[in-house]
Amino acid sequence: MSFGDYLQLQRENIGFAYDIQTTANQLTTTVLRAVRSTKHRIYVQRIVCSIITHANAKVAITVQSSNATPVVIASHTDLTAAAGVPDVVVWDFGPLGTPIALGESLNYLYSTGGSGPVCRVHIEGYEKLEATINLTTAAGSN
Amino acid sequence: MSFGDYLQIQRENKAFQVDIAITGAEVLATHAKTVRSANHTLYVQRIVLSITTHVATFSLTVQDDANTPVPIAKRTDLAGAAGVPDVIEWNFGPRGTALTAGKNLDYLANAGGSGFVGRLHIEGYEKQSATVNLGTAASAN
Repeated sequence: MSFGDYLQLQRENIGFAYDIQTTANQLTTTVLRAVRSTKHRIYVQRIVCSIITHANAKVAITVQSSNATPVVIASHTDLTAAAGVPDVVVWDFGPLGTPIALGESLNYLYSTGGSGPVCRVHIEGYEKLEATINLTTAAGSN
Repeated sequence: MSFGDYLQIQRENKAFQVDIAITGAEVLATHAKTVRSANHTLYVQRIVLSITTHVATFSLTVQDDANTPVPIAKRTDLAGAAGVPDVIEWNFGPRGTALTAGKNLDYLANAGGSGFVGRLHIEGYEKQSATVNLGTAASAN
């Protein structure tokens, strides 16, 4: 059995895919994927934001790490529908994906301040073990 | 024989591909793909809308047929002009975006009629996502 680039990485590691239906109501920072352990790292391969209802100057989606100072890897602020304003925004980070900080979870938020756009957001990627495991103390969580 | 990501997932499951001519006439919520059973889930990998004749303010929506439909894609057309795209692609990746379990894939377009003209292409797959009761539902799964 063979796979293309994206799925091959997902199959070799721990693949994930999420679908989020955003609403006009504000969602503050929420965990999308909890990292498996402090020794794992999450890689994001692709984020797709399909905008169903536009809302000018409002955050459609922000995806970031769970650090105390979050590292944002993708964010889109919507505009009123017009020529050049996309209905779909794709962040394609390639098959290897873009990593977030080691041991941090993947968070998201949307519609900051309320009255935001309505969207379908699809996120996929994988996580992999990237640090030495201490079998005597942490085997169960790795 | 080997396949890339999109086709590999389609081959592992039950693939579908639909091509629909958008004529400008109003289309009320219509099944683009009927789900195999209440125990299956449809996944949409890619939607391509090619608009050949633009008409401002008319729209196309792709959604499931839940009691409160969950839209996954919508495009409202604009008058043809520089910067107005003739093709819009929603690429949800090889795994695709999931509809509500057991729900069909619907589309609707051009409310009121005399809207835009184009071609709609949707592809994806469906897979069993719930336990099958062999005693009562085997033939439907």
